[in-house]
Amino acid sequence: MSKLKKLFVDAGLNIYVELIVIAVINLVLLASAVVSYFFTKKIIFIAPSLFLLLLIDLADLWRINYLKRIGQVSLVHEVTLLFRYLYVDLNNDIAVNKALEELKTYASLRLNTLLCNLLESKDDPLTSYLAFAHQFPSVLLEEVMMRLYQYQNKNSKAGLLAFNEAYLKLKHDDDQNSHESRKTRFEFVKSTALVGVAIIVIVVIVVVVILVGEFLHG
Amino acid sequence: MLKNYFIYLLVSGLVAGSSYLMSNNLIFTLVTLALFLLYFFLYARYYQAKHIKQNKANHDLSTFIHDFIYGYAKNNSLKEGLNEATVNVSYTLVEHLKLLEEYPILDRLEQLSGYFNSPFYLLFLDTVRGAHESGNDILKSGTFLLEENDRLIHERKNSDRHTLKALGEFALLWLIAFLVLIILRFAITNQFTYISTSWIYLVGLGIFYAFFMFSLYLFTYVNKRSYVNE
Repeated sequence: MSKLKKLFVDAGLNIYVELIVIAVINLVLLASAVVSYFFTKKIIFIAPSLFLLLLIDLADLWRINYLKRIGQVSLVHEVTLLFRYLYVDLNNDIAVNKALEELKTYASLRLNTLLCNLLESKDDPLTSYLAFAHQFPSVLLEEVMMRLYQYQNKNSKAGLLAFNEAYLKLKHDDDQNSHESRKTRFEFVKSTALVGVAIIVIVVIVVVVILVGEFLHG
Repeated sequence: MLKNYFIYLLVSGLVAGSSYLMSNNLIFTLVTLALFLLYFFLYARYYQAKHIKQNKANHDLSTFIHDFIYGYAKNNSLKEGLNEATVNVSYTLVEHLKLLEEYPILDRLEQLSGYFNSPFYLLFLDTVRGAHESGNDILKSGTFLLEENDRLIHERKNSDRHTLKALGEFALLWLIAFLVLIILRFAITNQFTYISTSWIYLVGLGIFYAFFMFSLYLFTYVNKRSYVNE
């Protein structure tokens, strides 16, 4: 998979739709720049369209990277919530393989694919468990999978307790992250008021400059 | 709900009033008033009603799970667990359960997954089924579930408090922004009559009010995403 295609897939976007939309927007803005020049015969009038084009392309790139980042965070959150069922099943003396199979009932499409790869893997269990954990940007999840492997291997009470402890650490970390991201989102929204003030100040300055210009030129 | 309608009308009125003060243009003011009223009564009101319904369902879910587990543990009976669970829940849920009376208890609980529509309820089902089939003590099997339930109740209360605080701060910052707007208006009093006829000024003012509406929408969207509902 090319680097560009991987970026869109990681962001959860359809590459073809996104490229078509960006191409259309760019073409429309380029066309408006050409039309502005055609009618005014002044180079300066193509500047707003080109500026808007640059702004939109940069904003889109930022959006894709942002979606990729929150996609990865939400994947860890998803798997943490999913593993609640695993936690309950293992503590109800259900075998590890059966509990992992049952997870497929509750998993989303993308997690289902990863779980199927884990269960159908022909590698040794430790390698496949770690390969599963490496799909997620979380060190704590790796520890959970290792403890799961150890419990499956030894099937002891101590192994189950170690898994429980590792999972609860992962859960606590996820809860903290959710709480922090809620706070950050609200902080961002509150900052829009400052942007509002900036808009009105810029508008008044522009109008006053035009007024002064008209006054000076009579 | 009446209190919310009053707030919607008040905010729309204040925004329209400020737009008239800033533009001296009746058409601009009426358009601003109409757009804000549409936003509040079409979108904000719908979102508010959905939020209240979700709140009620979440409260029912937490109460149901808590009372069921303790009821089941006390009498070691699914039937007694269900009876205890229906004591403190809403009338809607009780009526819904009456429609399922002909089914066995476990099937009734399965059917309720459509009513609650929550992954947390599926976890509860998993716990009850597991404890019932293995004969384990439900309190032991359900410890994690009860802790999660308590955590969710606590998180929702915190989330509501946090949202109110964020709303207060948001409202205060925009109030200051509008104050700056009004101060600028009186700072350019001498030239205002001329400036208010400039199309650049009216467009810029329109962008400001559009951005304010977008900011309101963003707050609602962020609040919706932040609501604890597992």
